[in-house]
Amino acid sequence: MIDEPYRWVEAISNRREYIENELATGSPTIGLSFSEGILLLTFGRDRRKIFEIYDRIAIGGIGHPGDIERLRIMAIELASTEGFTRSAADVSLRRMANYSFSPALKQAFEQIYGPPYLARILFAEIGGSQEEDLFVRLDYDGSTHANSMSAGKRREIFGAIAGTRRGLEQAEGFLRRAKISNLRSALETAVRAWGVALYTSDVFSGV
Amino acid sequence: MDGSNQPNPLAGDFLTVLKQRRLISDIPSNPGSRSEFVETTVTTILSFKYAGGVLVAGDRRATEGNVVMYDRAEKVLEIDHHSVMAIAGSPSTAWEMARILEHSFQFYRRSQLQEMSVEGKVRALSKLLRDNLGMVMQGVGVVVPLFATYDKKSSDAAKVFFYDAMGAKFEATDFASSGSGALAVRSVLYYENNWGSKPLRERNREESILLALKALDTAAEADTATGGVDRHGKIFPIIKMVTGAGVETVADDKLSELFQTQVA
Repeated sequence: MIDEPYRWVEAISNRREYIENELATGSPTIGLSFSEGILLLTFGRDRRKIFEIYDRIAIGGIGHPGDIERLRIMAIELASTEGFTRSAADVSLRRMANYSFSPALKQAFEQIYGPPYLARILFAEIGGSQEEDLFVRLDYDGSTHANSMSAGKRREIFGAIAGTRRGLEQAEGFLRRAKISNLRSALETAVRAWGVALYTSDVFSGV
Repeated sequence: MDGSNQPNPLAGDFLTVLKQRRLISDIPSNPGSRSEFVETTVTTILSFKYAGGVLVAGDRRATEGNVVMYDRAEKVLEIDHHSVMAIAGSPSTAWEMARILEHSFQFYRRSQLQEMSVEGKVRALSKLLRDNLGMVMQGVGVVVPLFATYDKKSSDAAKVFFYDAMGAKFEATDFASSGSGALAVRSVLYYENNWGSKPLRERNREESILLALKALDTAAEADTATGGVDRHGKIFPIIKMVTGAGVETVADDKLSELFQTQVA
């Protein structure tokens, strides 16, 4: 049945809808780059959601705890083995996200007899200067979005993940207008952005 | 992403990850014939407990048989915020062990979301030494390290451990030494602890640094493989203090000043 192209597309589409529903109620994670470093913020009732990966890399995630845990361990193993066999300076979020995570998530998502990752991850990497701070959003289907990996595009000073597309867009709009000078203002901005990303989401909009 | 498909049988163990991914080579376990080549060795390290914590010191000399190969070797290595490993023996093996330990402790902390216990850390070094037995049997790559750490949870927070080449672990009550000048250093520390001005544990930071300099100087007096202090090149031993606040390396200026005024 899955051999037929149309069925496959339908199955993928169903799978996408199912995952989006599962992720919709997740607590957003907001990342802000400012002069003193990077701030990652989320709120959670029962478990930890922001984790250290390596010397300069951290993650926040939305989704099933088991899948976030698998991705977290994968990231720590990748970064640690790279850092051990080469050097800490060779551990790069850009390489990790593009060449390891993106293909692995895409493969899991499209092989419809296997389980996909119910997860959306925000990676943050602190650079040598604020200009080099990097945020990468990684989705369950392997698609990535970075605050800047390409020339020409203006670099954003934030990265965010939210349960819904609308929540994310609202938060991004809010963050684009934000002015951040120090940790305190970064914290205030991030808390507000978190609220924007959560409460404008489709799930709650009717309430 | 191969490692993640199989659950790690020992969660948080970095060595298992490296082995699964074939990133470290297995050491041949059958003792072959001893080869004729002369390997580099580094010598004379010491550690003792003082009033503030633990002091760890080492001279800077690396030798290859009778030849002084390097006079700026670092034998006292910071493994994490509260642990220091000092090495005597083959630096190639020892530095690799230090690197594995450093990554193992970090890996454990990051993946398991808790710090490894002091007992676990001490045991990890035992295991690396044990794994190295195949090399030791062939007469190369012998490492006899010291491990000093500060365990805030323990009533006796300052800890010093010494090992034999097969990985047996011994906890020192007051001091430990290793390397070719170890006997001289041990005699000095024993004498000072029992009949010196006061026991080692009651000495302050400066008195402890001074004693370490004197002990290494004594070792260098009789042992050609120990570097001591090079007054011309201004090369001083490496001395690190492990306290509740973390690991601190004593600056060369301070060592120079103490040496000029009270040792030379």
